[in-house]
Amino acid sequence: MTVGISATATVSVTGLRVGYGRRVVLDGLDLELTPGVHGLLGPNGAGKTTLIRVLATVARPERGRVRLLDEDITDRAALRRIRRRLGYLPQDFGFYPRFTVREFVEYFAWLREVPRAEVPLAVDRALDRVGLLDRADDRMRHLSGGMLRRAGIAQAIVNDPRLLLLDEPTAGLDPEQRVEFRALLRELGIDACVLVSTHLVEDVGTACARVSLLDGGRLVFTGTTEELVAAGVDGGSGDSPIERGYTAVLRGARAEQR
Amino acid sequence: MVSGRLLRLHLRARRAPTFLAGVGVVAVLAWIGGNWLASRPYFDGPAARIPVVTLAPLLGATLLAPTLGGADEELERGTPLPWPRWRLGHVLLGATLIGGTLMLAGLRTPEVFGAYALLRNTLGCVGLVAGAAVLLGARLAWVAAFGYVCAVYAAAPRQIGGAAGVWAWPVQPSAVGSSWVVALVLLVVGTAGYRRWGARAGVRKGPFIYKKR
Repeated sequence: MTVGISATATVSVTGLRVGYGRRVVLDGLDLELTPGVHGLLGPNGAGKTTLIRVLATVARPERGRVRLLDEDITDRAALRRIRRRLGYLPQDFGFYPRFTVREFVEYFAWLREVPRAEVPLAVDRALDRVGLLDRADDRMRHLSGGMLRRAGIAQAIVNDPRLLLLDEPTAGLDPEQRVEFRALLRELGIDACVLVSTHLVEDVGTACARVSLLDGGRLVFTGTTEELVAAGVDGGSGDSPIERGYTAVLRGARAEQR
Repeated sequence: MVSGRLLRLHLRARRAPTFLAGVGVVAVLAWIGGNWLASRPYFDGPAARIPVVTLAPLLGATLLAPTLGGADEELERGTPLPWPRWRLGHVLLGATLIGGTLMLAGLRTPEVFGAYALLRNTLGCVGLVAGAAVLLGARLAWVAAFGYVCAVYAAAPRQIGGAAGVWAWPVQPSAVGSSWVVALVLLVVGTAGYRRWGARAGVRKGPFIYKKR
């Protein structure tokens, strides 16, 4: 397989290696993402969060090349331009208990250097999209877990990002909120590149056009959701077609390594 | 040009109002304590000001420590704001506020209250706190300065200048040049490290962090 740096890819990663101390988390990873919603699946400890942290420009790669939005992250001026167009929601996030929801989202609009005149509108739009407009003046510490998660999503989309990175965004959402969230994802994926890591394969099945599967720091599958389903037609265990595809691909990858 | 609104939100996010109120209280206590100690018969002259001169800057720097990190360092670091410049400004502004306020409390009669030693100790303690924030994170940044200054205070060396001018810089009279050199080196090294790396993101737990169940 040859990996070319295509001009249309929002994310282009080649030979990525990341480790914490001596432990190598990602090794020799190649990945290309285009606009649309991408699911990132994999067992715990596969390196999903690490990959997202590298793409969010908060973890430094040891080796390899990372290009985001057609620019190299090692160039300082380019990095600043990239970050303006980047949205990120970590798995757990610390918030400011005394801020209201609106202030929290507004703070991040400023930090992401949204032009001054556009800030109020951008904040309202982000709050509206996650359904928190009626709770905008509540203090963060009074929010429930699901609402906090939605406030987190609002800060990630406030700058209208070209690249949106969400690490397990559906954790803590109730079924109805998850349905709404998946609709939001599809809407955001029309013109942005959205990467969602999750354990819930049904989220992937309904909201993501493409899926990448990580195992042990390596990319073991990348393709459309239909291709993942097709991989599970003969073999694989699980209750839904996509779950069968997931387990079949993982098993196949692990058998190959032995 | 930095927007005033961003600045206001940032200061609130870093709990600057608590810091400012705390520094005010420390300055008042330093002033009252200095007056009281100076009038005690059992302290001979300059020795009277040592408790105030060491503890007030230490408390000021301790108050600065939690403001050195955001509620979520990781989220903030992925944003395009030129953080090194902001961090540098943060430390220098903090040091100026603490040093300035404490000097106001001591300048009335500097030879009695040790206004210059207050300034020197502020610079040294802020440097220690900024450096410790890089290694330990903002929450524990006060530990190094607190431990060191308390140890020096407890050791209470009688020697003035010489080796004591270096290791016991917080309790030296302000006329000892080497104590200023040490304090300034600590300030420069700590601030430079903090400017470059920022507070360590550290373990994600505590009352300000939303934890997934």
